[in-house]
Amino acid sequence: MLSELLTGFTTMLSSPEAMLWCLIGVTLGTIIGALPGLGPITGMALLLPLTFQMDQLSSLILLMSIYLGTMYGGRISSILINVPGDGGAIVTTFDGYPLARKGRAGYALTLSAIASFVGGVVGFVGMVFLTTILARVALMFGPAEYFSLILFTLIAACGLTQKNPLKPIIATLFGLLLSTIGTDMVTGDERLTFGFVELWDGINIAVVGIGLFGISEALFRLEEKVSTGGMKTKLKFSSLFPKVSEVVSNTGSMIRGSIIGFIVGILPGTGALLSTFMSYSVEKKLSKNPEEFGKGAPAGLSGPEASNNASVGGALIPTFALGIPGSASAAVLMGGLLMVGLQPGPLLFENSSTIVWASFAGFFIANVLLLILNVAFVPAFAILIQKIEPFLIPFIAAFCFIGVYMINYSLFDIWLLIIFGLLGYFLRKANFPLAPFFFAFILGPMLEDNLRKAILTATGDLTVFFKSPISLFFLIATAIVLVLPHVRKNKPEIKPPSKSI
Amino acid sequence: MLVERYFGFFLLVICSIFLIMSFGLPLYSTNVGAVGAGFFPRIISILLVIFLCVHLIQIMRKKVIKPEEEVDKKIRFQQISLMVFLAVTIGLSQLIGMLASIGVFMFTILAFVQKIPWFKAFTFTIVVLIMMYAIFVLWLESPLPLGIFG
Repeated sequence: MLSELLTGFTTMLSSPEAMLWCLIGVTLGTIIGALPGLGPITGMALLLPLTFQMDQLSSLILLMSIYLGTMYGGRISSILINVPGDGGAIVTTFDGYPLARKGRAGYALTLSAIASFVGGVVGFVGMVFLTTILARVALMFGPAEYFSLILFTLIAACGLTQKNPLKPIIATLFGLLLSTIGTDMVTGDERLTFGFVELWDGINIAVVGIGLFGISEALFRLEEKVSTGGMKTKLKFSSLFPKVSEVVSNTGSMIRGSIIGFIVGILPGTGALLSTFMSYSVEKKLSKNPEEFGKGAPAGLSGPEASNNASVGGALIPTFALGIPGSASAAVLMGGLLMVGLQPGPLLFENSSTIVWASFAGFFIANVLLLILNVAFVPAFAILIQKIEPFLIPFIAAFCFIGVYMINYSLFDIWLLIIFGLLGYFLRKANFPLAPFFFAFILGPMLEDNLRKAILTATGDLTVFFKSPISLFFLIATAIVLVLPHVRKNKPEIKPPSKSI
Repeated sequence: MLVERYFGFFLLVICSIFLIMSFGLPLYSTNVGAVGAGFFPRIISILLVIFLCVHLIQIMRKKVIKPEEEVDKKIRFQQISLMVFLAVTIGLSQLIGMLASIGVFMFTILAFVQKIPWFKAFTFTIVVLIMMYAIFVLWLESPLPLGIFG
């Protein structure tokens, strides 16, 4: 494993192209993440078209760097203007903004950057060691086990603890239904295409992703009138660096946050939001001065920030090892992998081992680059974000337009983009979550394929799903996830700040 | 609440159409135990229709309808303009080429819809167009429609 990782580092460091894309990815990711409302999903969806003509390693590195960069960038607007860049950066506002108001913005930005780095490194170590183990386990999986696992993932991703559990289920089912559009690969039947030849190959994942997250975001930004006007851009260079003792005193919270983020990140559909809230509440409980939380407690900033970034490594484990994304952002990343001809899953380590290990190395290098960028260039990012914010809406729409055309060089896809943009907008307006819909759209073909294979190999015997212990385990887990919210109805709900993705 | 209600009905109509269409597909294939092309879409659309009906009943039963968050007419106009201009840009792409039509789109939205000063809107549009030309035409060598310039 370590020799493969070393080979990965050698491949990565000897490829100037991949290194350049890593730098571009972390820079763009930080800018996108820092823009209020834009997170890893929108960032990756918008820049996905750039990867179409790139080699597999460069495209994977670019997407992973954007993913990580947005996680780092999200904290900039949280700390400077109290507006989180994305869901994972909400908790950062709790103590990051009060620190900034006390005149310690530079300290808060650097401490959170260091915490993000610690989280990223813990995520990296966990990813390196666990992905291959999980991939070996996954080789034992047959169609029945895969079907049950995907079913569990979809239900877990629904987030049934929400106020209305029916909505995520409807969103998931609708995503599954739309994923069936196109020619049936087994029988050759044309399914739900309304006579459009362009739909014979189904609807492209990127078109759906860019429409749902990109265009709907442009429409939403018009309503929300986000402003970066109050962002503090003048930070003394000397104020950026905390004392060594201040960093050391936060080591415990960073490590605890990293472990929480990593473990929660592995679980399907949980993501950074939950892990940061968990980390915050743990730090508050462990603190000798809990009353300081919400008023600028460093532990309330460093723990959740580490957790936020560690969740990325966790979410990538099932994505690489099983071909099942651990979060909505990982789902977009997986869409990108599929677009460039990489099939995530246990066989990825046999068929594209060099690329996978080089991308793991790239993940670590991206973390190092992000630490440097996010400490030294924070004032520059703050100025840049202020400058481009007013022009963002047509820019997003135009980039979506040309990006979608690039997929198949088809204007029909742009009509689909408009349809999915409107669908995304109204889903969000009616409080239907987008992530379960997109999850289901990506995993739908896999779910159906494994269902059919399992039933076919068992010559029509539907009990095949209960006979395998692994499959049975996932079915029981699915049932528990479905029943649990009804049992724990009195538990206080964690509310996302706005119409969430 | 009203958006939820109308959108719920819209989804119900769409899913019902999919359900009807799925009946035109075979449920089972001729092989022993093989599931046909219609099995999955039919099961999913049946479940969707049931859940959507339950969802709509839940909404209708709620007596107190929350007052809708008023969206400013100006914002609504901007949203509609954005989508309409996006659709117009598709047609324009074949006429004057994709990059030129994107330029027209961006300038129109910035200057006339978002009311950003003309000079700023023009400069930003030109910068973005140069960037797009460099990325998509020079670097990625994409065959973008050129229209009358082709």
